[in-house]
Amino acid sequence: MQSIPAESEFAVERGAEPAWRRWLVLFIAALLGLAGALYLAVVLLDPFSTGRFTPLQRIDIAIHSVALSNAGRVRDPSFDSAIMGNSVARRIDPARLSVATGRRFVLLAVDALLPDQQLVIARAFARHHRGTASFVFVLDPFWCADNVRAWPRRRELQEWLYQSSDFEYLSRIFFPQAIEAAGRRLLILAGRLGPARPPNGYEPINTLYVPADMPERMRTMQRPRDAAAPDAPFPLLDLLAHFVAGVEPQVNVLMIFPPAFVGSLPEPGSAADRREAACKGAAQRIAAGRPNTEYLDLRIENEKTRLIANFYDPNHYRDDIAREIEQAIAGRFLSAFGAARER
Amino acid sequence: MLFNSYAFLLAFLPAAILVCRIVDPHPRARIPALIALSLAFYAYWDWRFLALLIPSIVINWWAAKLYLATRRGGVVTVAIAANLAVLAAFKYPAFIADNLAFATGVDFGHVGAVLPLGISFFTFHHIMYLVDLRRGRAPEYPLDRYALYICYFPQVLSGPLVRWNEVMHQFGREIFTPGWQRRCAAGAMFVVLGLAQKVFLGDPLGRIIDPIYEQALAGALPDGRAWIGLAFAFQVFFDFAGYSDVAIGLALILGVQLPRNFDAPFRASSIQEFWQSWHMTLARFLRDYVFFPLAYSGIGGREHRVTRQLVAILITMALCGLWHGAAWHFVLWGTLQGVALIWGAVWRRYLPSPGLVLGWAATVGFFVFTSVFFRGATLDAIWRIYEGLLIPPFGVTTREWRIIALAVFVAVVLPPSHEIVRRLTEKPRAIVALGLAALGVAVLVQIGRGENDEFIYFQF
Repeated sequence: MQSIPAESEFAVERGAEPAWRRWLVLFIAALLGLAGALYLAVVLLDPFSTGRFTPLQRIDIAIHSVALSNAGRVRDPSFDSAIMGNSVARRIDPARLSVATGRRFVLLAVDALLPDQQLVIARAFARHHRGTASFVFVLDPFWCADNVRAWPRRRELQEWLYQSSDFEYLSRIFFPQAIEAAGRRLLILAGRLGPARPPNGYEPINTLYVPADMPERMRTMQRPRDAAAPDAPFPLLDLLAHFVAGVEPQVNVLMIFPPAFVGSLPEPGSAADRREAACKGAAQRIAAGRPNTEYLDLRIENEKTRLIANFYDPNHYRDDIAREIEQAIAGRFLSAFGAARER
Repeated sequence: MLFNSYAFLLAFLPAAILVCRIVDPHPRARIPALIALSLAFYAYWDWRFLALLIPSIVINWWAAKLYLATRRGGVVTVAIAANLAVLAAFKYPAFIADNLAFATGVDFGHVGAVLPLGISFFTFHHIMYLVDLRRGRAPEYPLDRYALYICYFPQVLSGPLVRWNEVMHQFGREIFTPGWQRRCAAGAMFVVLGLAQKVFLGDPLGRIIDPIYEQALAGALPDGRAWIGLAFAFQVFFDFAGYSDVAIGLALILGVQLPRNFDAPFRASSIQEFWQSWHMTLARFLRDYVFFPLAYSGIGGREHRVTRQLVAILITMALCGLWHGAAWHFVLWGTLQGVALIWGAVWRRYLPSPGLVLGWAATVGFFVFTSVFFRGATLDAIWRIYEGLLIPPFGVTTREWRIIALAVFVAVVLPPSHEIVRRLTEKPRAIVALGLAALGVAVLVQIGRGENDEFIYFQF
């Protein structure tokens, strides 16, 4: 065992006290001064374009993280309609949908985001577009869980960016990505840089990691059989029902189950099949119970969902399918809600 | 309260320094003030744990008093047994129930309790004092001083494991005596460097390592990423060495010097040297209170002295593993360390030295390789990590390699923090103050992530 230092290790030499006092003063002043200046700069530069505590009211997308940059998108007046979801929704092109419907769509889907987290973003969009918003909710089996915490949170959403007291916002805005985004926003304001991501949230995936053996895995995968009882609760759909009931009646809402590879669809006649049917029924009831609310089910077995080439993996369709989904959404929007209202 | 939280750094710590400054001219108020601060610090996590900590202090102090009054060794024996029983009741019920169920076939259902923070550490503090009391080495202390020894907030949660004779005389002394500025500067350096180790090295490693071990729980790791799991040895080092540095720094600011806990273990060229520089205060506790009594117990007579010592090493290190966690993989980890220590002792006696480089590679390689037993949640998961090592690490990304390479560089090449602080405090330099302030701001920004990872040793 090596010796442990004596307690006199940091004793001061005689006469050195004033110099060490000045050192401490300099250290504390520099620490507080630097931290304070940096904090003030971050708050005033408003890195995520929330419009809080800043004279800057324009929207800049100054960070790559979609979960963070959506805090600006939700208040962007350039858009009046939002596509909500997770990675399953990120192939839907809001620009094409805008052309097809006459509305101005923004993609607010975030990879790996769970339903209750998606609703945090949806509520913020609804609040900033009071009475004029439209929503497309891209649903997946996560919505059919029988308890809110059924799935592990793979992505943390900074919910305080979307809804928080002033104190909470000010106490949490000092973090690495905020510094990064504040710096980038400064460069954007100076005209030296463009936005970190497209303002409407859509960009073609060309970096999606797909294991080389994915087609083989899809070919041999077993369809799900087990699930909760069909009459078990659907707490996440209840949250969705509560959300749609809370927004103004004229707000258009479309819920859609997008196509998934047949291998991920429940085995017909199994418990999973009965559960999914009950889930879809619950979503239909939400649509039936409110005006300006529609339901669309494309999560079915057919020629397209049997074709492996149409999917990156069992849950994520490729762009050809995305174009068809856009057409289906646009068609339902036009038939159910009519052409875009003048706003 | 986490050291790496705004609540601690921006509220509790300045308040604690202010309180100490106010009471400093009043000798009788110093220890009570520190006890109050320490109990507030401890209760911040869960005030109900005070219901264990306070009686634990009072009962052990009373047992010591009773022993001194009666000189009956049984009092100390009972007190130590009671401390260990309480520790076992909180820490090991599930482990004991699972093993009984395995042996008897009787299912005891879910057994377990919330582990009070720091229980393993304050139990050992009680034991150190009581054993030394019976050996006639420790004096009697008033309740307030003994209470502070047990609950002193810089060390109550995860050490360092401090001997009573290292700190008792430091408690209650005037803090702001002439020359306090250099000591405070050194304390600030330890705090900033400790937090930097945690947030810039330990936590980033944890964020790449945790998914690997989670994946190992679910199934095989066929993509060569199991290699990332080996970096846990460095994660736990920066996590705990960082924590220890913060504890040492806080105590220094408040006028108390705690013993150091790490001394560049990843530069060790033998396993003995490694364990002399890794969690040094625990190693010292195990040596003095477990190994020595076993090794010199006289069992088996003089002719079995060597065998007895080797068996004592094995038992001591197996217990070291069990102390770290109530699971067989921890016991296996400790036993492997014991086997390595025996191997090292035998080698040193009968074989030529392998040389510094080979010895270093074998030592660090062994510790890194066996750290999987420490981190893996189940024996199956541990096996899957080792299986995954059969595949070359092509699946590890450049970013992950960078994080690991930086950690290895700092652990192996840079001097230990106490050496850095010693050099930086040779004389007061403005550039050091500014650099440390900048690092402190970077730490604060990093802490602002809001996902501050607990220190690993909080669970022990």
